[in-house]
Amino acid sequence: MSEVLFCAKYPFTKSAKKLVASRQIKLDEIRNDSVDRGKKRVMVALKSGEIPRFIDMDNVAELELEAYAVARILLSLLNNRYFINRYAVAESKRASTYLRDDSAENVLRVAAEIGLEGMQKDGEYKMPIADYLSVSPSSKDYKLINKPLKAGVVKLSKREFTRVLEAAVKSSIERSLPFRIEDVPELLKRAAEEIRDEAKGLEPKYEARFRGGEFPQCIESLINRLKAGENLNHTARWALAVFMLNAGYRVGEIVKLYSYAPDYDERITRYQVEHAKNRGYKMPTCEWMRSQGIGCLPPCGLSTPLHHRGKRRKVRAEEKEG
Amino acid sequence: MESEREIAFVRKKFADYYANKEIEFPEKLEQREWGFGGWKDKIEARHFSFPNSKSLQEYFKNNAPLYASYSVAYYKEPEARPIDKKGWLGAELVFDLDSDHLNLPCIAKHGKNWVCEGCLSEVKRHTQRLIEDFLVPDFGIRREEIEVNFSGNRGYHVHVNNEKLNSLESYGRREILDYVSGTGLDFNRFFAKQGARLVGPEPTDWGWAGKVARYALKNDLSNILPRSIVSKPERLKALRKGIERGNWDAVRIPKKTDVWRAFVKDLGLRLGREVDKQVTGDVTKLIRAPDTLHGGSGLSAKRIDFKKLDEFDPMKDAIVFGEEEIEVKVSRTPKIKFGGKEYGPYRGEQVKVPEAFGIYLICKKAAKRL
Ligand SMILES: [Zn+2]
Repeated sequence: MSEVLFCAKYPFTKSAKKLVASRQIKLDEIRNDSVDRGKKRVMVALKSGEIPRFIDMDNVAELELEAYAVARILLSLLNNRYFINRYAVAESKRASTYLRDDSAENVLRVAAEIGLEGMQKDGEYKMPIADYLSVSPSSKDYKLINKPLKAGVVKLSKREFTRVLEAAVKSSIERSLPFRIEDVPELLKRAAEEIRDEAKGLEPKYEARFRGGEFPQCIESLINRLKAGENLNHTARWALAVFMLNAGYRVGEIVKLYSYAPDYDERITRYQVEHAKNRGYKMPTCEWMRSQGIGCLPPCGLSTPLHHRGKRRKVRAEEKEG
Repeated sequence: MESEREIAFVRKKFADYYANKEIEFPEKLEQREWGFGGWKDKIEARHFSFPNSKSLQEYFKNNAPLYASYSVAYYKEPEARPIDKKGWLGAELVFDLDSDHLNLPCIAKHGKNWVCEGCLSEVKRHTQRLIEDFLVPDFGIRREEIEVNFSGNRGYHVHVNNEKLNSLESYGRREILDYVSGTGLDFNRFFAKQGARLVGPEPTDWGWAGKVARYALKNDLSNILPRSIVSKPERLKALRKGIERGNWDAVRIPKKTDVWRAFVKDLGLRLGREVDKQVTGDVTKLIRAPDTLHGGSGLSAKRIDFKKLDEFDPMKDAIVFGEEEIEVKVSRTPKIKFGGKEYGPYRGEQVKVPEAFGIYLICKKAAKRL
């Protein structure tokens, strides 16, 4: 693979940044068609949650790299957390599709270039525990206790290793945006405004209200994180959905709530919520919520978040008596 | 104030101690936040910082704090407040093992304010397991990076100073805590039915899988298996032979999945219910400074060479005050072993006791000076 192909597939790597910097393109030299490609990259990410792969050719790769750089400028101008997070999810998914097909050498190179140590032997990957814990997706499948761990390294399959890299790429893009940018040419400003217009309907607006008072704090915090555009892990989403279902919300309402998620896909979300409903999942205990890192802080002292309402009722009843 | 005499007495004794004691302070001293406590609160004032050990030594000499703790974190500006202005640079990984967390039956006998030999040996066993079963083999932490000290009251603190782990945020720390406490272990990931046969981990497996198998081989299993198996050595032997190869079904056990599920559930270290408050998970927490005195016992939070942890007896080795007798009025206490001698139980009497034990009782708020 040529260097420019590697960089275009993984435009967030150190090599890619170096390559782009070496081109010494000034802001006011960015051409109209490059701006268009950057804008398109952002729009497709916001709309579909995915960024398509490009044709494996060096000259196409050059354009891809440019589009990535422009997209970052546009997102910085827009300065919108929801857009940035949704874009970061799309970029990391795109990288993941490349990593899955790529050689071990390139997978490890990408890891190293985003600051993660890794090893590979006979198709078995390893990552030092500190690197792993700094980026591992917070889901049951990646919980440290369920992973093979020895002498400070976690053993991972290639699929798992690339999934960890995907999470690392996502958070590194999220953290790197927006950046400060000055003396922006009209061309770019206009493109950013166009995105703002075209993406107007995309930002979710649904307001969840808890019937009969406030949500329990753990649930409230999940909803707030969701609304802030945070990509909640599977466990957190599942717990939230089960709570809402048990609290009597309709599937449609819950699906709307999830539209805040940066990787929101209506069809998949509806399927998952309906699945949870059909299974009739019981609300997990507060203790379980805590063990997943999504419990009330400080601990609420209840046994299940669903008792929250019951407790309020009880308090009211007592007040009346008194 | 009622306890004024006691406070003055203990402060005087602490001051005498610090006047002649050179304390070995933590690494990165100038980046730590310090907190000090008095008779009422273990931390009454915080956000202190000291440029070097000389200035800190001076502070101890002049103020004789009843409690001294420092941040597990190190900061750019440790004295800045609130906390988010300090500039977090990293934090040691610290485990707080307290006999109070172990739900031991003896607590019902002697109450929460006191410890017995049983408490102390059980919490020591947990500390050793933390190091030998988890930190060294699984986390790959080198022994030079581990420091153990007596908490000063009823447990141990294990400090891990590993450059890479020090930069972990709360999420990663909580994962480590869950790992050592066995929280969130997914039984179905380690055990599976192949037909009717229960297949499980082997002792050489990595991580918790191997741990579960090794514990099963080491444990006498008498409180989890039915008597029909435990009482027959040849059946136990067959069972163990099976487990060595990952066959957990070599001997028929009624409700086998439930039995092993219950077994696995109890293998983690008990680190307290309010795990969120554990020092390990909190990157801004203050922890007792090793080798300083604990105002709730008058004992030293002594550093221990953990190769010699086996022989360490806090009720002997953490005593710093003398044998000279003082007279105190003791309220109610259980029987207490201190400095190799047994005392009490007391029921509100006046006694002459060695100064060190008198200070212990006064610090426990169970005695008044006469
Ligand atoms: Zn006890």
